[in-house]
Amino acid sequence: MVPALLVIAAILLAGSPFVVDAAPYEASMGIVSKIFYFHVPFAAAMLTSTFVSGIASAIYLIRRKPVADFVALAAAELVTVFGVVVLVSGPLWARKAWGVWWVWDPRLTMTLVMWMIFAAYLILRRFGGPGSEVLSAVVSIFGMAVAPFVYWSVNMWRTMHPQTSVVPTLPSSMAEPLWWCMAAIFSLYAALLLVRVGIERNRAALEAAYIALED
Amino acid sequence: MIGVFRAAWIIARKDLVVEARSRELAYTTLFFALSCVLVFSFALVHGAESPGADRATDAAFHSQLAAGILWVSIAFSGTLALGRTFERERQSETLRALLLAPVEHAAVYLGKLVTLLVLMFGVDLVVLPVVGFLFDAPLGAAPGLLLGVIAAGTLGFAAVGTLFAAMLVRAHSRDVLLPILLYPIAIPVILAGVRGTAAIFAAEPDLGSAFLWFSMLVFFDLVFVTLALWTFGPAMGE
Amino acid sequence: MLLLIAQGQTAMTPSTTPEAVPGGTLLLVAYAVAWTVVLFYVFTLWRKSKRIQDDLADVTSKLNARAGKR
Repeated sequence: MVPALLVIAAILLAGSPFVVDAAPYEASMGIVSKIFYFHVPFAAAMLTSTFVSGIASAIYLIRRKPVADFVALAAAELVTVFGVVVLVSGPLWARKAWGVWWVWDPRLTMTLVMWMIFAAYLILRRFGGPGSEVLSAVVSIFGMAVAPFVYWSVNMWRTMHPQTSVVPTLPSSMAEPLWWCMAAIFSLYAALLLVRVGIERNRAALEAAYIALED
Repeated sequence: MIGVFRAAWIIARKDLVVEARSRELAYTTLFFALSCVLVFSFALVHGAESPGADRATDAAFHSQLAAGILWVSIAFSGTLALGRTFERERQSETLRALLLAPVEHAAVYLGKLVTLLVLMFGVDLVVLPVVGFLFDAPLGAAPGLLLGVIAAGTLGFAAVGTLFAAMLVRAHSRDVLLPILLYPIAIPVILAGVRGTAAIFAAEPDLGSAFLWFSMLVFFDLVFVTLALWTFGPAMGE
Repeated sequence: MLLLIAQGQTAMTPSTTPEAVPGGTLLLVAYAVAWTVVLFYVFTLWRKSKRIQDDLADVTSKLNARAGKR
């Protein structure tokens, strides 16, 4: 399963520069708008990962199945890793488009808050001591629940104070390269998730082996 | 006899080497700072008003500043209160005793929440006039709605905070972990609270918006308290 | 649903002040950062995996040796 996913991801990713290059220029912004072709998929994958982590955490909290905890942890790591890409590529685009590094628009803000929540999840796992698996599951569930609230509240705030700079949409003529990149990045995401879960499984096996050795 | 500076340097180097291995202080302190920046940004960031309305912008900024500072104090003092409340439990191991008692765990959560709310509402009632005095904020503009916004926001913050503080009672680094975990999740509450309060404090109070923010806060409260009640039991180990 | 969120805001012409930094450079930096971050993460995964596999092999052989002796 994993090797197949990796091959698919590799092929799609290798093809993406050509696909993106062939896409028409966006009129007002020129070449910088091509950042969207991977900024959007990475953001979509990151948001998906917050839900994967939250749902896995809920399952872990109710059923205490170790694999659910592994998935929650792996997904949380991917939220932060993919989040870095989103939070760097977004401002780089914004700098060109509006001359500022950051705007408090709902999507970027939600991304930032989600990143902070799941980075906090990882910090809790690492430094919280024994029992952190259960505690972090609660954090993950709340993180997932809060995502729409952050979007909603920032959106309401923005509509009350209309801004001159608004994050634009991609015209539909550019949909095909976007779908290609979406497929590429989502298969990368799935591959990384499975690999990471496998590592956690091995780590659990290792701990069990250590305990068996001490008997 | 080693000189003062040499001894100091040896001690510092020892600490830094220990820290370099685990990096625990580095990461947790850094993330606490980032969480604070996040809270301050939401409390104090100024949405760009339409250009050319400079005097209105000044007044708007002023009212917004008062609202932001009010909510930052609520958040920070609330965090301290949460930590101290559960520190007492930890020292006497009474939390475990409570959880062993033949009552539903939800009762433990609610009891703790009520205590914290009484404490935080008391603080709110003192801090509010102080902020009003220092920033010349019109407390009398819409006192009912103002109290409603503050109460609803405080409840939302306390609901999540009580859950997390209880969870962290036996964790390492719990003092710094509480704000790191709590602040990002409390962001919508803080944002709505600041916006609602600022709308009331504005030179021309925007009560319609304030009521919208108040309704949003009530909705957040319902969701947060419900989620906390669901997860408290499993989290505390039933 | 994700695309609905992505398209939730109407397209507007942003008011721009042209930036001194050329767009191409920014694009390149963004690509470089994305690739670097992902590859670095893959590298850390590989390193962690290798360490765990080695330890697991080590402990398993010790367990087998002990079982063999009994």
